[in-house]
Amino acid sequence: MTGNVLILCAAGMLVSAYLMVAQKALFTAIRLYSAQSLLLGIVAATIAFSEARHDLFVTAALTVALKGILIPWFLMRVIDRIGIHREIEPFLNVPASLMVCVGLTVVGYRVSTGFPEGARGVSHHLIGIALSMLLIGLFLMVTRKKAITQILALLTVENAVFLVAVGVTSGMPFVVELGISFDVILAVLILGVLVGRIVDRFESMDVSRLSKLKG
Amino acid sequence: MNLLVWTLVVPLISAAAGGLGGPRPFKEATLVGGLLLTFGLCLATANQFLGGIVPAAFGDALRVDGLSALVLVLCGFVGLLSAVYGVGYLRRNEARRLVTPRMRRKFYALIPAYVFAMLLVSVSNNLGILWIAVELTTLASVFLVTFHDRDTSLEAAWKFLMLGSLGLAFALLGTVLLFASGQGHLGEGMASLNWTRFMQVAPELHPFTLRLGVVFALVGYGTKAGLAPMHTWKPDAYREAPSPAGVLMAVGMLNGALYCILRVHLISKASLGPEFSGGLLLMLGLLSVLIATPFILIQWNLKRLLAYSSIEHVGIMALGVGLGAEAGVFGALLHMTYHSLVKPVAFFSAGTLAQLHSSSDFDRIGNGTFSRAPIASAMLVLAAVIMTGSPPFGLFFSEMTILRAGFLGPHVTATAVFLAALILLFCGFAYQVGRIVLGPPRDPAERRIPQPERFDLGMGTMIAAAVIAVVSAFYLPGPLMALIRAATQVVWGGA
Amino acid sequence: MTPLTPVIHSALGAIVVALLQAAGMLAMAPLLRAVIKKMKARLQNRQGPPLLQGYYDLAKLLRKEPVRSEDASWVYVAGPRVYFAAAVAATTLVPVLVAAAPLEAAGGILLLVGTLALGRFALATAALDTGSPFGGMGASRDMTIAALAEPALLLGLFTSALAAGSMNLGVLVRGLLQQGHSFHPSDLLAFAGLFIIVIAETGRIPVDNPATHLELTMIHEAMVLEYAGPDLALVEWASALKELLYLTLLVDLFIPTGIATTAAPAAVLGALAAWTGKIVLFATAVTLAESTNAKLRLFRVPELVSVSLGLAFLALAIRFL
Repeated sequence: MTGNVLILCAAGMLVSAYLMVAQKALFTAIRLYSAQSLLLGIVAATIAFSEARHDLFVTAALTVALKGILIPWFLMRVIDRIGIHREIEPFLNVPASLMVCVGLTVVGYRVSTGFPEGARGVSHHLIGIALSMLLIGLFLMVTRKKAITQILALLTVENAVFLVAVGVTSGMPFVVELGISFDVILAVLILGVLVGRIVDRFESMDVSRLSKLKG
Repeated sequence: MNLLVWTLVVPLISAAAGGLGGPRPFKEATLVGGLLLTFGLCLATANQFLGGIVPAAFGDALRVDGLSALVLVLCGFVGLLSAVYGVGYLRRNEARRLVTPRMRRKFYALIPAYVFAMLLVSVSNNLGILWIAVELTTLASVFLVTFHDRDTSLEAAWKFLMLGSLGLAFALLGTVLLFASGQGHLGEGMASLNWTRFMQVAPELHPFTLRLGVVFALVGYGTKAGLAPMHTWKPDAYREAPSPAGVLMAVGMLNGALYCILRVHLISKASLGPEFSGGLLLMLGLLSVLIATPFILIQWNLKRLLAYSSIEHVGIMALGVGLGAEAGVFGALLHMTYHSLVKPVAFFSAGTLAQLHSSSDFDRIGNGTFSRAPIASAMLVLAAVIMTGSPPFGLFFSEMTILRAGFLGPHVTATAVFLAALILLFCGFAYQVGRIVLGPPRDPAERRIPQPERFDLGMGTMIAAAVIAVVSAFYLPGPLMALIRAATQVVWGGA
Repeated sequence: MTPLTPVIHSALGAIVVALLQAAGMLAMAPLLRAVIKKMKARLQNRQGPPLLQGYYDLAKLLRKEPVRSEDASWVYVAGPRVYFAAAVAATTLVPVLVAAAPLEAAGGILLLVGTLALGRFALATAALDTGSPFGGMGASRDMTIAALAEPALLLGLFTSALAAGSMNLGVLVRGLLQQGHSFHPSDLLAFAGLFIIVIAETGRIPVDNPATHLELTMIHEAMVLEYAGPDLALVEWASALKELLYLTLLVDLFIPTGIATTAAPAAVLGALAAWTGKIVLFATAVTLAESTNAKLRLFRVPELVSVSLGLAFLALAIRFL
């Protein structure tokens, strides 16, 4: 049962990452990220419940509160304020992007077989999915131009790392977890401020315009 | 509270005081006084270590061994220099009415905060705390990069933060994987992420997970250190950050990131043998030196030139460690020390020239600065001479040590390529700096000097730094040498 | 625990069950469309048409006299009939209440997809027959989407077939039942892929809008624009049947629990309740998808369908890793 819930949630995270690749409306992309974080929270809560690790409940609650609600709300506010709602044509079109992502997922899954826990069972899927999401996040980051999408890509990578953390190690020490959450939220706040300033200055969120510095 | 904790608390207090309002002399005093005290405390902590006590706090989450002590002292030193120069820097800009109260508060708060984060990096024994501290350095420095609030500084800050965060996500994954590789051996709770614990159970770590973790961690922290090919944020950030912040990045941050890399390298070495991470470091290091070379030759901006030089130097250090010989390690750590001593001179002189001309671009500065700003120009030449590894200065010795170790070891080809790159770099640097300082002005308009060179606090700091850089070539204080040896022992012996 | 042996034993029994199942599905199909319309209306704070509206419409159309263009050939007349026949035939290849497809001896997944494709082909050629611009446009659009949707459908079905070890839907469902509750990530990926396909194949938002006759956007409606009377009734009925069929397919592949494993009346009645509940669940999902998304511009539709192709392909790939 626990295994099924974990796999279901993790697979849901992977699907949300895929939909994000195919998505151009920024609001939807943010909602997808939010759903992804909620699923991550459920994964953490499930592990906390089944292994009776109570500090993981705090992690789960933090994940849901910060990444599931607070950060999406903040990003939506940023978008609202600057009034840009759509991603422009990415460097690579959607079908091609998807095919690349399929390849990346296969790579992620292949790598996951090397783990001692990863040979079979639930961990295999958790690690495989996490590594795939990591690669997809990186891919999004290099192919998208809008600042917000890049932030979302970064956050997807972050979620993938957390999925590895709860999936493989059933959680880092509590203090460290707390510090990491704090840092992540701070980073997003600063990124949001920067996006605001970039839009004020360039009247666009297109980061491919940020190309004066070369050589 | 013990000495180590005070070393960290003092810059924090200084940052808090700097963030508040208050009259200028008071703020200048808190900045310089705070960082002076910090440097003193760093020295005291290092002294405690040399005296045979291992300073530690929070259940060994913070712990000072030879490597930590060396990095700590160097960070404290650069922090102090940067603070004093920073006061002079702001005064100059204030004289030209370029500084708002908001900018001033930002500056006085962020510089000590940055120093705090770097000190925390250098004494972290816990890999989790280490990651958090590195992320803090990134966050503290973003608004230093946007300090001048130009279009280009936003671009630089964006790249800096995105690439930095990505690197840190990698480093976090690396940390998680390292932790995962020791499941069942590391124990429970906070201490399970301690580096010392990792070293104890090194033979038990799961090889595949560890390899993957080491690769991710090295790439992640390598991004922060500016190793090629993850170096692209560096030139942009150096150009945009004000010189006092630039020097913190180029020395403090570089040393801190290298510290992280070394910690990971040591775990890998203890568990998988020296070839795996050593080979990676050798490759990344050589690549950095090679990539820096052409960009130095075609450079169009003085501070970006320094950035590529810093990429080159971090490459040299990584290469020295990666050679897998004790002499190489010693050379790398010696290189780190000398580099930390000379880089401030380069930044301060370049920063002075940039301030006088209101820009650090070559075509805005124009050729032949020697006639306009003789002292800063002379210092720049001096710094360039030292940085390119000319005898009789310190970096010559450290580079020779590394080269010797390389030619005696198995990586002769790599060392030969490295030597060739060093020669090219020397020529490139000599060409660029010579052109700027002594070259004939292209048209009469360039001879006009917007700001006369004046003797002020900034220049005083620059000259003091230059004296230290020169003297250090002939005399390194005994305790500092002892620290370098202790650090070498840590990195080579893994103790 | 559950039998792997066929539930239906004799050939005659199979034919009887097939007829019953086809009749039942035909009877339910208009209701499903009405339910979705009703739920959508309620979400938009409207009253919506009554639940029996679908039947009234069909009855009205069937009573009317067919109007056909002078240029129409037999292809035009045959189109709706083949389309309807194909849809009805397809229902006999899918298990609905009992864990066996009535005519599972005839074939499995490939036959099912092939039958549906035949119907589509007939309708598209019929639309081209009169030479009207709308018919041609609709046919070309429909085929463009189908070219991507069909492989995705096949890939998604293959994923489940791989899990259960058979391409025959009856055997497949019994295999899934026997495996019990173990869950694989590829299930969810395949489900997501197939769900998008169902949306695309049934002509719903965001792919097509069943309620519009705007020439810029319509796909399916453009194809059948020329039809009237009983011809149109057949097309509409077959489309509704296809929709029910696709949802039943999703039910079979992803939540087969509850389906009857014997032909005992009590078990079948229980299965009927379970089936209704599951169909309503998926219908709600379709409604939500329709209500929360905007219609995509036409040239973005292939992108969406390619997402499902990607997901289905991935689901298949993960099975092997």
